[in-house]
Amino acid sequence: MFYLSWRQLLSRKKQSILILLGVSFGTLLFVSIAGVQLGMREYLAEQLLNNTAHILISGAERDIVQSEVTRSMYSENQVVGWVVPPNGKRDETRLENYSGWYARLNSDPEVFDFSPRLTANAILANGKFVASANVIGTVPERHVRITSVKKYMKEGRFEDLSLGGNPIVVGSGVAKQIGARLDQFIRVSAGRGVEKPFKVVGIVHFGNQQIDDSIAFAQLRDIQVLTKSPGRVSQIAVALYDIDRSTEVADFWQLISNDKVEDWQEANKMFMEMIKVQDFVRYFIIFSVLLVAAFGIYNVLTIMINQKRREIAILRAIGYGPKRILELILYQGILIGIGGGVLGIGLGYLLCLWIESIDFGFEIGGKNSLWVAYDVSTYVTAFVSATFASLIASFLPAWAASRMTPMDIIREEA
Amino acid sequence: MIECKGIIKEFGNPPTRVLHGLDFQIQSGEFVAISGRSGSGKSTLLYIISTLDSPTRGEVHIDGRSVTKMSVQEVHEFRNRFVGFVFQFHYLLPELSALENVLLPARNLGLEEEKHQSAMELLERLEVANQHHKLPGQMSGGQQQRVAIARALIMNPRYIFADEPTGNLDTHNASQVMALLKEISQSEKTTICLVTHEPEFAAQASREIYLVDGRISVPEA
Repeated sequence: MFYLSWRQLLSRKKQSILILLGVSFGTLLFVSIAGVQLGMREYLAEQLLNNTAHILISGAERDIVQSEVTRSMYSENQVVGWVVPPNGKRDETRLENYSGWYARLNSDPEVFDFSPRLTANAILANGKFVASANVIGTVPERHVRITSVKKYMKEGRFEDLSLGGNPIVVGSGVAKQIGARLDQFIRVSAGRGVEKPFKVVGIVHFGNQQIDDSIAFAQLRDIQVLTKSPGRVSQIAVALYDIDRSTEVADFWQLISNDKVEDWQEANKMFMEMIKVQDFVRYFIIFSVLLVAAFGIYNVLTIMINQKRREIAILRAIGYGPKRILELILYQGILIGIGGGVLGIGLGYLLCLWIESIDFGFEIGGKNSLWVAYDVSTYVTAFVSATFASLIASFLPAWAASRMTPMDIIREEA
Repeated sequence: MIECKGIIKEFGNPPTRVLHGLDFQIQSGEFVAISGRSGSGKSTLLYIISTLDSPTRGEVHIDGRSVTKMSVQEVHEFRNRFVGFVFQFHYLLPELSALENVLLPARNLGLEEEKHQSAMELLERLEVANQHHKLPGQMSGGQQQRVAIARALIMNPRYIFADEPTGNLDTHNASQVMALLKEISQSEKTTICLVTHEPEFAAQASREIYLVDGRISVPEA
């Protein structure tokens, strides 16, 4: 029956091509919109992950509890009554039990690597020029393993942070503000009366102005000295083998610890919600376009069946049973679906290539054009949806055609 | 052999009776003409004995099998292998060439390779072999009807049912088609049932079933 379906499609070239274009238009839209959206997401996710890692463990903000203060200041037998009970928040967030985390993370098979951090707001000065930055004290050799920061180094090497002599890597925006160059010494102060010279060993450029204008990296030890808090760690950034497991793993760790455990999705809730809306919009678009295309297929096949009543009658008289007639119409719909799907993903791919080549004149994550994703799953989804929509749309007319009896048709024709 | 017992056919609601309890037999190899005026029920009868339609009451036995008891699959296979149809309109598929149209019944059984040779011979015999690659739209009415006859003959059927096969043709082509059917009936021993309203063609058959208002009328001698 396939052969006859094919011939019937060919005999209505114009109609077939139009409806094929309808289906391919739907697929094309989906592929290109998904390409741009997912590309944007990849870019944003990488930006976010550079700062938060898959899971971020940080000290929870804790209230001052009256009984704890009483217990630590008075012996057990004393009865204490407060006139003004102590309240408020503790002045620093710190991890309760860093070594405990260290042991746990080292033995957890899902953990790829982790890196302790201490973040401080600091003033960076070079001569008269001053900039404030969020200095992340980290362990450089671990940091490069869990983030892609190396990729974004504009000058110098991130690994040089592990050398002695107060090395620092500054964001490109920060470097510009204070006019700092590689190998230059700048003064860094964390506002506790300590000011130390740091040597610029690298300039990092993430391509996100907000971050580049306010970020700097230094050794954990140096920041601990700068903030006069030896041994303190405020965060542990963890990378897992499987990023998709981050939520589950984080939820589990949260159960067994007082510290705050956030996976990257939770830490960037707004962003993840935006992604969900984007996903919805994308699926809504492909759904509506394919719905229209499916209606097109349905209409065309229904009209065709009416025009081909005689042929259906003679096929039945010759001995082609209802199943064969169903196949005859169904194959045409499926052929249009497959053809439109293939054409659509082909054109969609070309459109993606073209979009990627457009120069926007401003920087987006290291280049002047949109990031476009070429996920195989997008193409598979687009193709399967197009074929599936066509299958559904052609099934109804095909079924109706298979129900026609040759006598009904012959009587009407006579 | 086709055996009809008490064939009644009614249409519509309230039912109008078109055929009034017909009993007759058609022997193998017979050339039977079913004739009568328009509205006499001759086409209805043809479609009932040819398995395309079913009677409201009564039974049709073909080669000893009751048509009403055959499954959809069996009916179609029976038509495919043993029955050839020729209609007033040729009903060729416009997308397919003459040869492909002739081979359609064979294709359904996966026999188009084996039947290719005999299809060409049939077209030769019907004097349309030089048209075999043409689409139906490129042929004349007479040529189209001959291709349709070739399609009816391709499986060497036991039965040929023809509903006014000459109705749409000019006198010359019509008599050629009639001559052809007669020839087939003689050379292949095929049972042929022909519906026609032209007494001249009905007379060429070996037997005539003349219908008047849904009843078989005994011809006055």
